[in-house]
Amino acid sequence: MTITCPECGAEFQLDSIEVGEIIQCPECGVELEVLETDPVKLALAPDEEEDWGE
Amino acid sequence: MIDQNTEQTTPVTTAELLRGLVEIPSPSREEGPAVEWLCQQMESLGMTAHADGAGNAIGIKGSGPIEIMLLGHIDTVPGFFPVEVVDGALYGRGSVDAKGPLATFVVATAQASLPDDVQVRVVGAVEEEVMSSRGAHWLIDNADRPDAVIIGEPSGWDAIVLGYKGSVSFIYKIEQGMAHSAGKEASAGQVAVDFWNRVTDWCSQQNGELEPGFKTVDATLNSFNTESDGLTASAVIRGNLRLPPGLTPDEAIEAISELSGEGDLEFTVNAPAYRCEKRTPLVSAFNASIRQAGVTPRTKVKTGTSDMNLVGPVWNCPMLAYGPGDSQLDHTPNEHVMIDDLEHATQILTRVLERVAKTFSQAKSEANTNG
Repeated sequence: MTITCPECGAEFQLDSIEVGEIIQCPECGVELEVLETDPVKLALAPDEEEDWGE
Repeated sequence: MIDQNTEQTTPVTTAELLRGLVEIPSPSREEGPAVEWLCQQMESLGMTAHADGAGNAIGIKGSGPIEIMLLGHIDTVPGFFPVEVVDGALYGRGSVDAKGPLATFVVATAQASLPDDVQVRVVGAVEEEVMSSRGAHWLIDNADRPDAVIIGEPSGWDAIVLGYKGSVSFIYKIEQGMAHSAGKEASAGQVAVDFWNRVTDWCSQQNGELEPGFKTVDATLNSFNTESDGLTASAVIRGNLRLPPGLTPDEAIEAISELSGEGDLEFTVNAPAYRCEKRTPLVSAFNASIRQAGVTPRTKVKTGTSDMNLVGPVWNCPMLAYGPGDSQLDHTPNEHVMIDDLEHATQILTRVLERVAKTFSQAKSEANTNG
């Protein structure tokens, strides 16, 4: 299927995706979370937070 | 193919199970009574349960060849205080670190509907809070490599943890003959301070412009003592280095050793840093399940250590840490977890287990079909 990066607009192909999956745009390198698959809806994956403990 | 293996003989909420668990003190090396009680509870929930060779509490649901391990720990730091529920929060030693996550593991596993070829193994490991990490080491030496692992630590019910820093402890000791304080020779204390300054300078050089955090190497001075008997003087520093991914304990030891001058150094490797793969069925399932609960999933890395540091490099399978609770309450006399958070986490984890089990089961079926 054809994916369009919401950040840079690049189009790229993936065999399959699933809800919750983190994918990476091969053009701009941004990480994207798959919110829906039919139709495909993507969002920027949240930035990693730093925490302490354990 | 989903079977109907969800019958429970004793329905229980996560909060009820957690309350029972924190009411039994279980500081490291004194976990026996809590392990015995938890095994009884897991059996009453339809799981098979036993204590393994290390004394870890083991509860198993299903018997298939695909294994999802939920690796929590049942020991706590010392400091028992009365268990109580106040304003929707359950107070007690270990309620956050990490009996809350462990209770969540047990109830979610009991609730989850699993394919026939998948088993979920819940582990309440012993001695996670002390250097020995006996429970995790026993699993590394004796258990089969699981197909996926969830480490039971407090990430917060809406977050997952994908990495922990490494840790090396050291003891520096300098001993020399007494010298007059008005003389030119540096005192033992001064020599030790100079060594410590070289250590922190080395850390600064490694870190460059980075703010202290997951990607930096950071030194902590745990203690500094000097003494003299009138003939000789000595100084001892006990310190710790928190290591980022990419800096191995051996590399750190080599670098610090070169800074020691006339002093002697002893090192203890606690664990290397470990960073989980982000693109796995496990992460996908958590993202989707947390969103299903109505919030945006968060991803964390932590500057502490956990059993992930030990089993991660050995098993090298899809892995992350998850559990309800605020880790800033770890080890404090104010340790508590919100009961609502326990229930959120339990429902999220139940959905995760069902989805991941189905994903692995289908992948195996397809692999068998394709030869």
